[in-house]
Amino acid sequence: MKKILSAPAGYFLGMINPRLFSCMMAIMALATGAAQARLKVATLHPLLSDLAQNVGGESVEVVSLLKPGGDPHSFDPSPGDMAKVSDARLILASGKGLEIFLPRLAQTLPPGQEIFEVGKRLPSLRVEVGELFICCPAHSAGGIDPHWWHSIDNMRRAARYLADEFTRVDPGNSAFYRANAAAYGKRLEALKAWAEQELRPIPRDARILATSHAAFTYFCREFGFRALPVQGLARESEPTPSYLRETIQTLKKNRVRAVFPEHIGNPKVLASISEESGAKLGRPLIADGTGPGSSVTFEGMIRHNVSTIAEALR
Amino acid sequence: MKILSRIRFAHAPTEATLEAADGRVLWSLPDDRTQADLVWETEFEIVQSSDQAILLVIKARWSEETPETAVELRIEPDGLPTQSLTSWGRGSLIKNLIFFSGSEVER
Ligand SMILES: [Zn+2]
Repeated sequence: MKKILSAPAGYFLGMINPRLFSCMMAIMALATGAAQARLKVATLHPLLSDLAQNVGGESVEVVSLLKPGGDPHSFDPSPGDMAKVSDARLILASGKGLEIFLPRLAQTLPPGQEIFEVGKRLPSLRVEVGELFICCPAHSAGGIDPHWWHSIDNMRRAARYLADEFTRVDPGNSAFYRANAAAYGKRLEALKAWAEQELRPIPRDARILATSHAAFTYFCREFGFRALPVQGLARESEPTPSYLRETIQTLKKNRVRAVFPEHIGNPKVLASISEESGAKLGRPLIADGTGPGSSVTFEGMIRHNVSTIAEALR
Repeated sequence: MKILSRIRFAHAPTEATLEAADGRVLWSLPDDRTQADLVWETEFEIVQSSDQAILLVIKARWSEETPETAVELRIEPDGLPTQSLTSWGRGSLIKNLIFFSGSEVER
């Protein structure tokens, strides 16, 4: 086999050896970090703030517009919110249709400010009965699940895409951003291994995730579950009596062990479904990534959700 | 389509390339490496629609004293799920890898 030393430039966009970059990162930070102005970034979701902090480190200043405990489905930043971040270079959005106000927001940005949809290059999963859904509310059928952050793989990829975007607007810190994304990616691989270990005792036929709204499609794909949401994609309406009856029958038929309420939202519906179906009521899951305390970080949210699911279903 | 890929060797090869189905070289083992460099990341673009399978060819050669060994290729195509395949070889390896798309691209 002929040894080829370099690839054609058009097809070869970048190459990273994470070991090499860890050294470069330290040198770059010492040489340039202190002297340069920080890149200001505003986010529309707390998990994006956590991601931006992990990728940008001390080279970025991150401002969260949606606070922990907020509902990203009903959130719409006010002109006052946007005025506070008028000097931010980037606005980070989740994408995949979560922020329905984005096209309108894009028209009001000050010169030089841009929106980056972090989820844009990630795979999309739809709500449809089949491999990933046992049943789903009719009004959400066919819609793309915007909660891409329930996949650890997705967040690892998102870190790399964000490093590319930070590099585009702040090329001087490119090696630093890419090394941070690689280091964070390694931590997330370890987190995924931990999650798989925790979920391993759950038998195959018990891997049904009955939740309030349809937020866990990416989790189900990553860890071999099927979803059974009571509400639609955005917690937009209470389920109809006929859909509730259908859900209770499905829970009974599949001998579902537990149903999980959410950190935000009304737990009453889930409590009554639990009572009627015989499935126990699990601890609340963090569905929208806006959990309190240590679960405000991505790693904290995953640890909380995985532990909660594992303790209820195994 | 943009693809981010990671190539992970169990033992350091003496030569290695990643090629597209038409023979274009997408990545090759750089000269300034050490024996401890086993993981490489590269981003490239191929002309491909999202509903077609992605064909890549991994070629590698190891020194004679290297035991049977493995190379894992993980790809992350834009809009498609992460997928990985592991190939085994001793001495040298030429392997055609076919990745099937399992999800649609957001439009
Ligand atoms: Zn949600």
